[in-house]
Formats: sequence, structure tokens, C-alpha cells
Amino acid sequence: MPIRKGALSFARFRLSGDVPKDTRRWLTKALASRAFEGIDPKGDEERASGFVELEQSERTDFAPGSVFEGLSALFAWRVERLRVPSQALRGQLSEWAQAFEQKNGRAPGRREKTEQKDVIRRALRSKTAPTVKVFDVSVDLGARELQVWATARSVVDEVTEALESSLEVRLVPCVPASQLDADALDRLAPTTELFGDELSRPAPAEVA
Amino acid sequence: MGSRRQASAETKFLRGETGVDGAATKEQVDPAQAEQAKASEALYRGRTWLGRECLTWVLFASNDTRPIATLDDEPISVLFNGRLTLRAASGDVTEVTAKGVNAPYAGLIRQAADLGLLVHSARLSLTWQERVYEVTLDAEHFDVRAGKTPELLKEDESEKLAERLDHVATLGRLIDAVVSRFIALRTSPRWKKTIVPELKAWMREHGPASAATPTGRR
Repeated sequence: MPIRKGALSFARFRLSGDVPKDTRRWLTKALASRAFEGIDPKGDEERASGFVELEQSERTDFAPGSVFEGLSALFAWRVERLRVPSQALRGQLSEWAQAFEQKNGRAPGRREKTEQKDVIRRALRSKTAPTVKVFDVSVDLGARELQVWATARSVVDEVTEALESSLEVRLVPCVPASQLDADALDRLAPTTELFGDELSRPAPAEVA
Repeated sequence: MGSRRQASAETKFLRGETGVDGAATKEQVDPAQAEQAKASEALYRGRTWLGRECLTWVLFASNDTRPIATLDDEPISVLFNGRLTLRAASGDVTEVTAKGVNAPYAGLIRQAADLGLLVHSARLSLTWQERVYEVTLDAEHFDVRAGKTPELLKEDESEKLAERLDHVATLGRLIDAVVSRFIALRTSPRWKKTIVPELKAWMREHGPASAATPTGRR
């Protein structure tokens, strides 16, 4: 659990926007609204994600004692993936195709193969356990700062998107540009003496 | 040979790589141009250029014995140690990575910086109130990577967590204080008048590297 031990690796954000006085209720409600729900083995979903308690990542009760530690809120983002191993699928399909040919005196047609592939896939899916990854999240309610303890940018983006929509705030990354207001930022441009003459060419459209 | 060439052309057509006239179906992209476009896009994405200017200024300022910034009226000093990555917006060389305890202060790094390869990521140690924090920062996101705090003193697990979270908050404040100092200089007239010329002069001091200490200590 990275929050508790080991080297520190996290993305930092500031909460921008109105934060209600009852921060605990506000945060708990937001977590519950985007709580983790597991993958249905009978369905077609390959991935599921959502918030869980930090200490027990199967739980989504978010009791105050499990989330709040002084002025900090600690919880986690759980990601499950259920992928049928393609090698097993191919192997079983190949065995079935051979048996089919022996029985019927001909190789299975494309539609027959597709149908059987689906049957095998569903059978394998019901026997495959999902892989689970859990990423810690901490919120300093006093300083209005948030840390997502993940190195993969896709995870950081997914967590911040979920929090922004459920908390109805903006999460501003703690980068140098965030210490300037929009007008001041618009007036700034890369220092030509440092970056070189190539900057006299037009900049590509800004990617947020 | 002729039939082999013909077979190759036929194979390309069957693969969809060429049309009936033999011309390529997809636009051939010059790899060098594609690389330049990628480097340029990376520079402007999320205003990464400002992060690179910041980290480069911090490297320059860390040569000075004076504190780089303050937090709660206490000085912060910064030292670069270990791995350093420089990136450019364009040019034949778009990235350089240097390893070595004193690598960040080597003449070679200043020479590269003078050519437009600015600091994109670096390992720093920040010292404040006799506490030392280590962190790797990158110019695009300023995420904390592989951060180390002073040793925890509490024994109780719950108190240890609170102490660790306190260090997390302090590390964040230290990084913000250093960035804030940079922003104050960057948005002042001093930036172009004084600091950029000083930066360029420091970059051009790229004589043979001094082995033991950061060079150019003022």
C-alpha cells in the first residue's frame, strides 16, 4: 500500500471550486456514487473500475472510520480486468475443430467456428479470475490537495475524471503553469534564447 | 531478378500497400520530420516548456550557495543528484539522459543545455529545516516519483501514517515554494534582462567537468 510504506510516487492536484462545509459527507457521497462494482462473469465487460476502501479493497461502505484520518481522506481506486487467455481459447477451438472434422468428415465452416468460439470464450470466462489492481488516493482536506498514488497516466486521468464529476470540483495539476492566472499564462511564451530559433515557427494547437 | 522485382511489386499490391498505378496508398512520412513534430508537440502539451524552463533554472540556481527559495521563512536548498534527462523542441538530438552522481553539474550538460536541450526530468534532494527529501520530478506533470522522506520517528502504525502524510504535505509545499520562486522571476522583467543572460553565460562555461563539486559555485 504505497500510502503507508515504500517510496513516494503520486500525481498532485489542487481542488478548485466550492467545497461544502460538511466535507466528510460530501466526499463519502461522492465515493459511493462511483463505488466499485465487480465484473459479471456472464456478461461481456472486460474491465471494471471504481472507488473502494483503502484498507479493505473489497468494501465500498466508506464508513467514516475507514476513510478519514484526521484532516486526510484515504481511499482507493480498484481496477479489475477479465481477459480470456487467447492461447487457451485458440487451443480449445483447435481441438474442437479437429474433433468436428473427424466426426463430420469436413472442417467446420466460418459460422460454426465463430459460434463455437463464443461458447468456449464464455466457458473460459466463467473459470477465469479477474486481475485486480488497486491505486491509493489521499486528500488533504485542510490544504485542499489530492494525491493519486499511481504512475500510469491513464489511471491518474481516470481517477481524476471520476472525482471531478462526483465531487463537482476541478482538479488542477500542481504544475508551474497552475501558479499563474489565465491572462498571465497567455502572455507567456517559451524563452527563445533557451529553446532556440525553431520556436519562431507557429506552435501546434495546444494540447491540454 | 526481373521476376523477383515483379513479384515484390505484386505482393505490395496484394497487401494494399500500393495502388494499380504502383504508387504508395499511404503517405510516406519522413521519420525525421515525424520525430520533430513529436518533440514539438511534447514541448507544448500542458505547457511542458514552462516546466523545462523551471527545472533548468533550478539546476542553474542550485549552483549557488544561497538558498533557492524559502518556506515558512526557512531556507530551501536544492541539489541535483543522479539521473537527469534533457529534451529539445527540435534538432538532430531530441533527448539526452545523463547518469552519475555529479552528472547534472558536468560541463557536458551545460553544453547540451546551451544547444536547447533543457531539463525534462531530474532527481533532486531538497533540504529544509535540516530535513532532506529526495524526489524525481518531470517537466510535464511535476509528479512526485520515487520520493524519499526523512526517517519516520513514530512507532505506532497510526501515528506513523500521520507522520508520513505530514511529510507528503511538506514535500508538496517545498516543491510549490521552489516553483513559486521560479514563477516570480519568470514573470518579472528580470527574467529577460538578467536571469536569461546569466543562464546562457553559465551554460557556456562548459569546460572540463569538475569531479567532486558542482562547478561554478558562486
